[in-house]
Amino acid sequence: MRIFLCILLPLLWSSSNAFGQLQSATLQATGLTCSMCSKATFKKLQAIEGVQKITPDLDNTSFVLQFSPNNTTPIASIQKQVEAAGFSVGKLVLNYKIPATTIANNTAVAFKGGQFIFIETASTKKEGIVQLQVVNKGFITDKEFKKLQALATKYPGYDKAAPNQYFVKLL
Amino acid sequence: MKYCLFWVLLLPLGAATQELFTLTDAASNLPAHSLSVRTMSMGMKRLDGNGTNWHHIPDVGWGISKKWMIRSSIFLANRGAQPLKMEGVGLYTKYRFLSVDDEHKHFRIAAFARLGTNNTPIHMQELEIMGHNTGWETGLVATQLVQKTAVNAAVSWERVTNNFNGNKFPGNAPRDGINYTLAWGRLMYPKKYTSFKQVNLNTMVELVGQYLPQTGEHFIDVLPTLQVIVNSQLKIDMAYRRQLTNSMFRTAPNGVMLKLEYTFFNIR
Repeated sequence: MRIFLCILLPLLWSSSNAFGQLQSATLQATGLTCSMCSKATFKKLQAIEGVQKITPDLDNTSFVLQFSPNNTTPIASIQKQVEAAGFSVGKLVLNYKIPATTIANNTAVAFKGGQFIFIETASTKKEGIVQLQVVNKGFITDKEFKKLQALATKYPGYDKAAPNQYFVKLL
Repeated sequence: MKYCLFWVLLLPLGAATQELFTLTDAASNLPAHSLSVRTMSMGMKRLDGNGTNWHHIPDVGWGISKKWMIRSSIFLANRGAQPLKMEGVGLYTKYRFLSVDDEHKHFRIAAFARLGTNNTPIHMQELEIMGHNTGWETGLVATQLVQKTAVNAAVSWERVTNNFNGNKFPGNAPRDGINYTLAWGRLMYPKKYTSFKQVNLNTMVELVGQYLPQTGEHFIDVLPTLQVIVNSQLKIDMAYRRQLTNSMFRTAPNGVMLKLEYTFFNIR
């Protein structure tokens, strides 16, 4: 089943650009304090496809990533590069520009290269810039994930998300 | 081991600390696909009064992946008034198998192993495969970082054998040793990080000990270090190594150290 999803889902997602365009992201890196560690993370983030500009906040070990227009940046590459620097993602908020869209809790929408599933989100109609916090394992701290794991009963698959399937909260 | 526990109890938790120590390699790794170029020089005053032994250890390190790194070294020394010559090579590898990260903190444990060669006569009871003996070492290192406080502890088993050039290890001397280190440090400047270009100043203290289980002999050294970090990429350590307690035959335990390290990120 998992193999089937791995093959089929990316095919479906790649043909669709229903949700909008990734504009920027705010990343909180965890496991570090020193400026050399922040620089290692900064350099790894610079290597992500589609990243145009990075503004670091060294004291808070956070980074604002600006992406090029029409980028197809894989969200997984953000986590991969932070971990390659030796650290972890503690929080990732994605800023998407979307056309008029109705967002409903526990529903999936396709985006370039993946699928968002909205959780703990009140149904609403949105247009313009929206902020989505990714709450998959590996995109929040281990402590937070342990707390949220119970949500798997409400949102099936939350504790074992398929590749490129992102559970998000609308902020 | 009782000394080890003693120092753990004394470690002053709560100070602002970095974990980039002079002798102790913390459980954290080099970033994946990054190259570290390093040189460590030590001027160790000889107890026999015949000048200073200068050791230079240039090395390169490579982050194979986020969890695994390797480092290779060359050991150069002058042994008092003799010309500087290459005495051996070293190979080091470390695998981080536990990493728990949180905001401004982490806990990590890594396993490491080291091989060292040397071609000079064996002249002391202390076992040291970083420039004196031929042998191997393997152990564990754990690092806890909380806010700007890091505590690092390592324990390893070291086994030496004959040196090259026919320089045999004395048959009746202990060949096995237990090494342990404890490290502590404090960020002095800046109080608040605002730019990669800020010069960072750290002070650190390391305790380095060895115990020979066969005979019960031991030593413990202390290394206060002043560390300067330039452009968040060049690390300069200036340290003084001083013997605190010792019951074995050592030839030059006290001296100064200078270590420079530059990291090239994203080589591929």
